[in-house]
Amino acid sequence: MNCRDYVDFLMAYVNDELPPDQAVAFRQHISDCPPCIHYLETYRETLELEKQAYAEQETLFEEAPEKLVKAILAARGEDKI
Amino acid sequence: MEQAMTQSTDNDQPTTASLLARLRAGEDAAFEIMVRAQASRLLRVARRFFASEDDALDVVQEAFLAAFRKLDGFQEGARLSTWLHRITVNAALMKLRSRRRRPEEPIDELLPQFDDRGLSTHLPREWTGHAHELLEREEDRKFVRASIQKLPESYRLVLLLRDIDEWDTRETARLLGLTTGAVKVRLHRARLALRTLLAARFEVEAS
Ligand SMILES: [Zn+2]
Repeated sequence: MNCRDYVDFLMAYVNDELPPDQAVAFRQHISDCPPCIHYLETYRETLELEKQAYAEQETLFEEAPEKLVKAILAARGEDKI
Repeated sequence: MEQAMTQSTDNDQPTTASLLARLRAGEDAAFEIMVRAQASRLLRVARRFFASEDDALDVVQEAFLAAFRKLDGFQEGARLSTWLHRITVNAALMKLRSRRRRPEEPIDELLPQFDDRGLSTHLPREWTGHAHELLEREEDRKFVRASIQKLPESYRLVLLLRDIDEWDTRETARLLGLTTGAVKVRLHRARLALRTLLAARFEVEAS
């Protein structure tokens, strides 16, 4: 397995979806090519960062903007729904 | 009105038959309850798809109007919040589709590069700190969101729907009109491209 194949398999590896023989080859690549461990680590960190970036800071209920509420209710009136 | 205020905090309650009956009967107060209970959460969903706040507000309004029109199709016992979430995502995708004009930038430059033998031409380095430390700073969270915004749209949408909104592959394929195979390929490339963009900030200096 070369670096390109290894990178192609990252998602399947992280999802535990690689067939056993390919998972062995995947891990073997890391021992043959130590820098590639950083692709795996930073791929995982990317996933974590994405989720954190959009995670709610507070679970408290937040009021809807009053203007938006009024606009929606008014539009319903106009459309006679 | 008083009832609207107390019920507005129950934004994830299974829809009661009585609220649904009141909505179907066209009772104004029932619509106000529904809008107050759900609008802020749907606005947060819509904001992920648009850089502009006005676009996000428009989409939430369109989503509610679409929902009002098809209340008859709502399955009793389902969650109103889940149903509205899907309608909002659809409204956002429709708005994006309607304005897609120029062909998008290719993603290739953001993907890892290899030589003829398939070996990395740029060796990846580790990142400073870990995700949880990085994200104590709102500045970093903003950087990550801005980086996602930079992805070509067809990749960004797959990443938002799969990783942030957490629809499964099949549902994402349906929402975007893609095959499940295409969703998997785009998700993988989107994550790799995002990794490249994030590396610019988080990668440790070469020693
Ligand atoms: Zn390698």
